[in-house]
Amino acid sequence: MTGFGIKPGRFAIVGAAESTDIGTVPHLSSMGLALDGAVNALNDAGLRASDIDGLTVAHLPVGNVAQQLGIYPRWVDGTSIGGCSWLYHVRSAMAAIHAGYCSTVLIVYGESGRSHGTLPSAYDAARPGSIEQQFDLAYTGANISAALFGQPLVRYMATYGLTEAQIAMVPVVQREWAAKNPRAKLKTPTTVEDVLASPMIAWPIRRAMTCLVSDAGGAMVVTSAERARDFPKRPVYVLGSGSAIENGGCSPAGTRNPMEPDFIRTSGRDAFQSAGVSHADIDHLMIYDAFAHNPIFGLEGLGFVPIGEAAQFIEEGHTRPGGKLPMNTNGGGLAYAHSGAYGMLCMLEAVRQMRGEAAAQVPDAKTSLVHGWGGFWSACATIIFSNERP
Amino acid sequence: MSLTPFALPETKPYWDAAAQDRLHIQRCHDCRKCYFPPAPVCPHCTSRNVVWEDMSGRATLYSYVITASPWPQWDMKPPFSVATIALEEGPRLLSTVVDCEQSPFALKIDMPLVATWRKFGDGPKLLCFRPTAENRQ
Ligand SMILES: [Zn+2]
Repeated sequence: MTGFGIKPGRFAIVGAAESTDIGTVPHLSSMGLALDGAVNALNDAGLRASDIDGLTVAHLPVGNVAQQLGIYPRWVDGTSIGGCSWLYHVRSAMAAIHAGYCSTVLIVYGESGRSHGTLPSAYDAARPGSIEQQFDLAYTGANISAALFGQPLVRYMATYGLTEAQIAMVPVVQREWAAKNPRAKLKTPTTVEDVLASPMIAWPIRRAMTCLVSDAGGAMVVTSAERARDFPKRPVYVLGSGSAIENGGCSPAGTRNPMEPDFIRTSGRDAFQSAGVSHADIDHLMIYDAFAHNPIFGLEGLGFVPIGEAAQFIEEGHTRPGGKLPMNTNGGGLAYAHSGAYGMLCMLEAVRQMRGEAAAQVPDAKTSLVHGWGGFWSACATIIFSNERP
Repeated sequence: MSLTPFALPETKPYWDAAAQDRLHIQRCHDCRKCYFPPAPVCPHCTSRNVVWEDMSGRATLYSYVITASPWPQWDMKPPFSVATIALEEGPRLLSTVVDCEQSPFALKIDMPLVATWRKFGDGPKLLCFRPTAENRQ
């Protein structure tokens, strides 16, 4: 592999915000949530729409978002690869600024997952003639995401001895984080017994092992580190990033190694190498938890623990409040909010942690790694943030 | 959303064969590997020198879940397995295991299976898999 052209800390997040309301927001559509989050992020950065010359949006028409915000971008990216799209956009925004195509990029997300349905073109899977419509959706039953996301899990359980009770520990620990967060949906403690008593969705996945269904929006502003000190909030620098695409839409059946996916390893490796940091340097971790087993696969795929050992790592308390690797500190998609494509909300919690303004603040955290999935088991992206410029 | 598979020119031979209880997918003439889903290019070596072949129908259960959600359009009643099937010829695909108790006790990872075709509701014949005779519960 050749070196990375963008050095650690060369770019920074200088504005970041969620939509004013999250959870149940019936008065806004996906577009309305996106616009609300965008305005909050602009205000957070002290910028006007006319200061933005680059725009990224996933699963919504980028031109409509530009028009409705009164932004006239020189550069856009509408890449839509599911829930990790907005992490991917951070990468492409840095590349575009680096190339001189634009100077200040607004990354926008909005999704009325609860009130008005997930993003209309979210996976394009139901389109007649798509690979998914012909060969996958006929078999999934109505809970498409559990049926597909669950495919790597049962073979993993048979191979590594992972138990249902161990999977249940993931939401138990994340509720401990959510209890500290006034904006979290599920703030009451839960137990392994409670999780295993919740209704079956698709064995072995139970309702308490699946993410919430919420409405939410959010946005971030990316610019060069040289300009970052001119903004009202503490800059959050991007140390490194990675991404990888394995296949389209659904079909974990076609993933080369479903239990040890190559795409996680590629994305994580590139993020660490471009950041110039090691696992021991990471103080805070966000791993997109559409389902309780996703952080288990993520901890292993990113190299934080050996394959087969992540559930034990969580059981031992390393990711809970006070643990050595605090993970999903907003409560995660399982307990905070999950509107369908959660990557932006993952990054916004990391930014709050790096700014020192999180509801459940990790003391002295200087680096944060965010890992997002997309398209069930088909794409991912990884960003490493820091509040210090190297 | 319509569940009725909408065949493209590139996939029509698969669906025509399925209507006759045959598992017809493509093999690359250059690297000799089979692949799925149907496409005019081999994903292993990018060759366009590919031919349709009947598969043996022999397979193993790679992984699965047992969904509690119905598919009302298909008249599929839960619990039913949503399964990743590994064909003897190599490719993996999504399907369901029928003629078998739908439980983790009966559905064993790597158990041998054989192709069968079923109609659900008024949909077309769909490729399914059942335990081999010697492995039937
Ligand atoms: Zn070939």
